[in-house]
Amino acid sequence: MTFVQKLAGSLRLARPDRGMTVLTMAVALGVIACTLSILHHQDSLLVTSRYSAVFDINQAVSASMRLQLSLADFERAPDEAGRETIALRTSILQNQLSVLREGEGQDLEVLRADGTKVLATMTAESLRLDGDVATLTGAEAGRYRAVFEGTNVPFLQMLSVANVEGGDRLRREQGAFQDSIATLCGLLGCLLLIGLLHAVLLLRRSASLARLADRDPLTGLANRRVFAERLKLLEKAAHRRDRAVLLLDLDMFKAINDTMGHATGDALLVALGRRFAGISRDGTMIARLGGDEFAAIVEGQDIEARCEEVARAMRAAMAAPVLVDGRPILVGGSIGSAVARADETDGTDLLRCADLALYAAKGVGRGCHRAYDATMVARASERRDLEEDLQGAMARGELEMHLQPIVDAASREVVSSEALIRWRHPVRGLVSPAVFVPVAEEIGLIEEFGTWMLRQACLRAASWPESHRVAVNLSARQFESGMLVARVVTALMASGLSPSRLELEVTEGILLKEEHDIVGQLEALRRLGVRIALDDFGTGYTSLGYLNTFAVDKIKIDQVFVRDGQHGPRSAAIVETICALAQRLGIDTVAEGVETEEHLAFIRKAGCREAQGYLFSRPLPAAEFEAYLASRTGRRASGLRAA
Amino acid sequence: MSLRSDSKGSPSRRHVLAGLGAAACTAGPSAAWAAPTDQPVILTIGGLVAPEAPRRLTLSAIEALGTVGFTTRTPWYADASRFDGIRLDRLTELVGARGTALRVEALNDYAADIPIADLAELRPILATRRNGLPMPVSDKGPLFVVYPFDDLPQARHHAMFARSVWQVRRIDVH
Repeated sequence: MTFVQKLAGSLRLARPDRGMTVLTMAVALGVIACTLSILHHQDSLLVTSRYSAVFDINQAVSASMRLQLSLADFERAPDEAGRETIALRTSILQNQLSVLREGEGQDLEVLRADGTKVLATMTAESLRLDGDVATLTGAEAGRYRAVFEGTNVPFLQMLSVANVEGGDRLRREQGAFQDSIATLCGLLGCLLLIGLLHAVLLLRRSASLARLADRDPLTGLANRRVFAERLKLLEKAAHRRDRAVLLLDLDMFKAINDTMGHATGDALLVALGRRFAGISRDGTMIARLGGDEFAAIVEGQDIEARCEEVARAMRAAMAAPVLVDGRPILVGGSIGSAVARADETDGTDLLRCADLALYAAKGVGRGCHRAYDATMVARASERRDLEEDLQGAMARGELEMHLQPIVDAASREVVSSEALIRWRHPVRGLVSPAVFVPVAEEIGLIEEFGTWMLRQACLRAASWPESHRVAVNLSARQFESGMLVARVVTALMASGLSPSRLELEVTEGILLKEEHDIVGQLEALRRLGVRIALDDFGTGYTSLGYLNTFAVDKIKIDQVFVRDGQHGPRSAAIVETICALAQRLGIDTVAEGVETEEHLAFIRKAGCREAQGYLFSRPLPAAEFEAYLASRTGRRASGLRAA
Repeated sequence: MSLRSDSKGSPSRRHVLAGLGAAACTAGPSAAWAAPTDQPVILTIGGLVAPEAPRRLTLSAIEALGTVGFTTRTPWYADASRFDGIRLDRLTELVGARGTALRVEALNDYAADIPIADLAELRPILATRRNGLPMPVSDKGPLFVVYPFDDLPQARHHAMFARSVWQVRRIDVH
């Protein structure tokens, strides 16, 4: 890691903007300080260079020499002109000496050390000579000349030393000046680096912002926007290639979120996202569209095979359980895919096709992959029509209640009947509940329908003989609102039907559900006196455990066992065992799907109490059922009040 | 500025020059200046100057041309001093100099050239007095070229210090 990276790292940790600002300000202050220092050094450099004390000393030496010459002339031939010359030379020397004493040159070391004595001598002698010049004799001139000659050697040496000292001082100042320049350059370099660092950080930040905008924050996969853009690009003529879209919905993800918490759900998504990311490669983009929806865009040659391959890889990624907080969670996903050729220009909405395929896959069951085909559009539109029609079915009075009698296996007397919902569509005719009930469940109509059935069943049954009970099926959806018990009570009160004559049929799977306190609601219903029957017994996750914890009143043995029972010894054993067990527990048993005398004989032999099936009657419209009931109980028909 | 507008042979200049000439040549009394005749000549002017320009001047004659003054520090005195004297550009004007530079010579034969073009900007004077008193030869007298160093940072340079000639005895225009 380079220094700059480290620096950038630490700056990023401690509020990047503030750190950079402080650093920049510090360096800028350094630059200012350095500039001031340079100006200062430049000033002293000027002082050093601007005035040469050495030149002044030289001038003083020269003035002294010329005085000595004039003294020598006077010594030889004293006259007035010579006297005036001596006076002038003395004054000039005095002036030069005063400059050395007072001027800026005096800060030279040599003038304050070695120079002090010779300067003092010369100053004193020139002052004396200035006083004596008017009366000067040749002999006196000779004496003065000798005195000044004695100062020549130390004075000249002082000149040389001052020259060296001046040079040293210049060098020193220049050195400091150069140091300051170097420091300034360094600081300016730092400023430049900081600028670069700023630029790099900015670039990096904008890159990471761009990344954030492109990525799903949870899984790091491409997000919906990027996915849509890529798809749009591929639709454009210039970029059109063979392409495919895969959509993946996790099965039961909502249940995981609800029962294990959102944190677990998120951790699961993150783990799956990481696995899916492994599938991503050139020409294959994996995205998370939101929630538990993942998607892939595949493009390029050999598109069908590659699409299939990606779907396989996605399913393989979900094959191993995901560990969340040490708990293994196994999820499945339904995948829908759709392929478009490069030369297809009809603007097929790939996403919509894949969505239809996904819907078809979900319809098949969990963990399936379906590729789009053209029939899906028809089916989807059919389904949409069905939904629309179903919305108003109840208001238009198209729902009907049919009843199928349940008889005593021994006496064949009708003891009860199962209420079954039917939809009589003006065009479609009678629609199978297998078709419309799942749709009603999905679009949230089932609670309304169920309540209607409860009311109808209770109203009808109230007019039947006292010994006749009525059985109504309950969907798991009806437990979700928590209003079920109240609705049952309302139906019973409105009809005046005794609770003991109402049987509510639930599938055994309902008892396994932990949410909505289904068992609690069932127990509340039982406390009302309503009977609870287990429908389709033996086909689901049959567990004898719940028979132990939750008391049911009746078990309805699924028709599969009835039909197979007479042929296979295994089914016979199962039915016998169920009946024996029920008897021991005080639970009634009903066999469904009894269509022949053989069936009846078989279940009777097995110990089953009651029977239901075409052998006795198919489900009948309410009015027909009542007529049937009347005919069967003709002797007691007078007891049947008009409905 | 009035100095400039007066240039090129204006009547006022001629009048002054005539006065100077009279002072130098005849040493007679005059209304414009009254210099004692026993004063020594301290400045000789030569070179490319007007024919009628005076060549030899005494202290009084110089001071009669009009003086200005300022206080400044110099490299040669520990403290700041007040200098009074005639502006060199005024003197140049008055003598009708036609050259580009003044060669200033000292009693000790030191000499320096001062470009005439610089005079207006750097405003050097030919000082006759320091702290109000005439200057002896032993202390940079009798005439001393001084720049207003404290007022003009650009004058605080070796080039100007070297042109600050003391003990001036002669100025030649060339």
